[in-house]
Amino acid sequence: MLLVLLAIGLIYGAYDRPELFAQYIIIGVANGALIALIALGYTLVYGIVELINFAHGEVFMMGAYFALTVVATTGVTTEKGWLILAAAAILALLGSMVFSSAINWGIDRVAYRRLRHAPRLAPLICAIGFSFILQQMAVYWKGGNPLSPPALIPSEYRAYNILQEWFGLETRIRIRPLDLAVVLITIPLLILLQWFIQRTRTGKAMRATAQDRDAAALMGIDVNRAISIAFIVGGALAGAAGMIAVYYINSARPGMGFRYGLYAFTAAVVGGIGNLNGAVIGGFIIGIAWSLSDGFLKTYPGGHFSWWGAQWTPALIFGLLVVTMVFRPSGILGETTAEKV
Amino acid sequence: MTATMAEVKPGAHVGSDSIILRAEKITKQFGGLTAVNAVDLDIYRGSIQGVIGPNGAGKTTFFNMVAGIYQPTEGRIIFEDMVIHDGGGRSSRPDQVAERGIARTFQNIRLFANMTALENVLIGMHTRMRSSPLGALLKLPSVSREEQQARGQAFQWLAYVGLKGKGNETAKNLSYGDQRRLEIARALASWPHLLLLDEPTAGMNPTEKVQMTQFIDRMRHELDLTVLLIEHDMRVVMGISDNVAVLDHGEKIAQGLPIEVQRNQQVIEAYLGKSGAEAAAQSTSVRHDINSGPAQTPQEALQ
Repeated sequence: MLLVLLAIGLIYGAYDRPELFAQYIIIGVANGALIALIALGYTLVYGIVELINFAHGEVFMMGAYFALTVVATTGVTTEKGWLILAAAAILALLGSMVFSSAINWGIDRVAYRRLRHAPRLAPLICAIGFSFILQQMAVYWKGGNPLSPPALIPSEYRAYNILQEWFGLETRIRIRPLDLAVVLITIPLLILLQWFIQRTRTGKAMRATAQDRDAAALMGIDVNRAISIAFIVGGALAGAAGMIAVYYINSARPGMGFRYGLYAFTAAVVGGIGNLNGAVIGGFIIGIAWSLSDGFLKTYPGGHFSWWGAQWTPALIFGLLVVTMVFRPSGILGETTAEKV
Repeated sequence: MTATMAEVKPGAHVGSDSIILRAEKITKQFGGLTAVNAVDLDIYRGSIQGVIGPNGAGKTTFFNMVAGIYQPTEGRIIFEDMVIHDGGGRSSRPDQVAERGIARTFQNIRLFANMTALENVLIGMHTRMRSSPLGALLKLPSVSREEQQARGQAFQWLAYVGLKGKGNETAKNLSYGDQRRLEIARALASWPHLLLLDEPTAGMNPTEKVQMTQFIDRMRHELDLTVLLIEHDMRVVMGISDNVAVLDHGEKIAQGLPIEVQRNQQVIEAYLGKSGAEAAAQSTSVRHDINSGPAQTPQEALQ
């Protein structure tokens, strides 16, 4: 009921204040891309071992910290040429992808693999345990306070509006280079993932393992290897998301994995857990809902929602989760016994 | 862990390379239940070895031990002069067994239902392909060449089993008979030396059964295969097997040529029960048999 009211309000708002609305959609898309990257990790792992890897948010957080460390180690400053800056950014991106996938792979190797034939609850509890372990490791490593990443984007470009500067549009909608970068990094990764899963021999082995582990093994597929690769790929995507997030929200703290992790998990479930496209769609839905709720709703004209604020965002997002669970328990793209990876 | 056949059984009256698979006193216990009890079985290269027995006789358990799904409690299985499963020691994983050259189909079809027929066959080729994820990522020419060849071969396998033109259909949309054929194509794609068929004609009508029987025989000759066949349908087993082993309550109660097995009193009793066997001796119209189809008791099949 409330959601229907909200939807009507939003549609009217979009009509009434299109530029403001579009602005928040753009932020939402960038946010959504981030969430989608993390959600893919949940969904890949769930698809293949039916485990909700609650440590995944922390794998993302570790990626963020590692990216920050890499950039700090290279010692680049914004006075350097853009080529050097771009090289540092790519190095940090690849570094955090490798780092996060190593962590994710390690957790599976050390713990989950031993519990593969245990009751489902055992690896789940184990995952929650790893989530705390990783958080505490991050506190030990970098301290508990939020850290700002070393600047990579020259200050004059931080508030630079691509639409005005490049296209000369008279508009108040602002797309920053950062917003663009988020999408430009995410989309190729998503395409690469699709190609990897659908086209390559390893991807086929992963899909086969997800559908029928025993039959896959009898076809000569090393099931443990296929599962390891799912963890590695999921970790790499989380690492990339970590690198992007640390610059997008301009801070990193040990607890950041919790909220992003929960939202991404929600996105994966809303989209249909186990379904890759579903995770991406869910990610964008949650990202857009997040940004509209944080910003647009309270500035909505007429003041009907002036009481609304960012504190309601989790309620809205988990409300979406509840509604999905009630009306479409298998998620938007999920089928009851569907293809899982 | 490895042993040559000569070490295993010196002085065996057959040359080591004529036996492709040897099970030695193979036993499987589930808790207190003994599903397979000290079964010995030699399978000769190029032959079709039938395994029959009433429901619950341990046929599928035996199969699963060969395939590496269950580890034998005791005994060992030797495949092409290699001990692949050792009850006291290590057993190979299913994927390692597949790599050695054993492929199988399932009693209840287990295709990758949401993939196309072609993809199912490509997965069957998995062990014969070498490309690594990194190579695929870098689009190495060797990888794409291998991929091209694999697709070509997969289409050939589909044509071989009679699924020409159905490569792009999703497996779950194929008809029942076609799904069975696809399972065989998927198994053949790994170029197995030994093919395990678990009730390949289950659920088929008599015409389809005849076709399938002929196809298995053709495959064996054309592809140089050895076949281990579990089957309920007596006509199918007796028609194509070179040798038949009979399991009952986990034990091998008889083995020999189909005609010998059919006349074996113990076998008839196992299928019909003691009183049933006596009745069957008097009348051929006994119908409380193992299967729904007509003429399937050993005696009737014989006639």
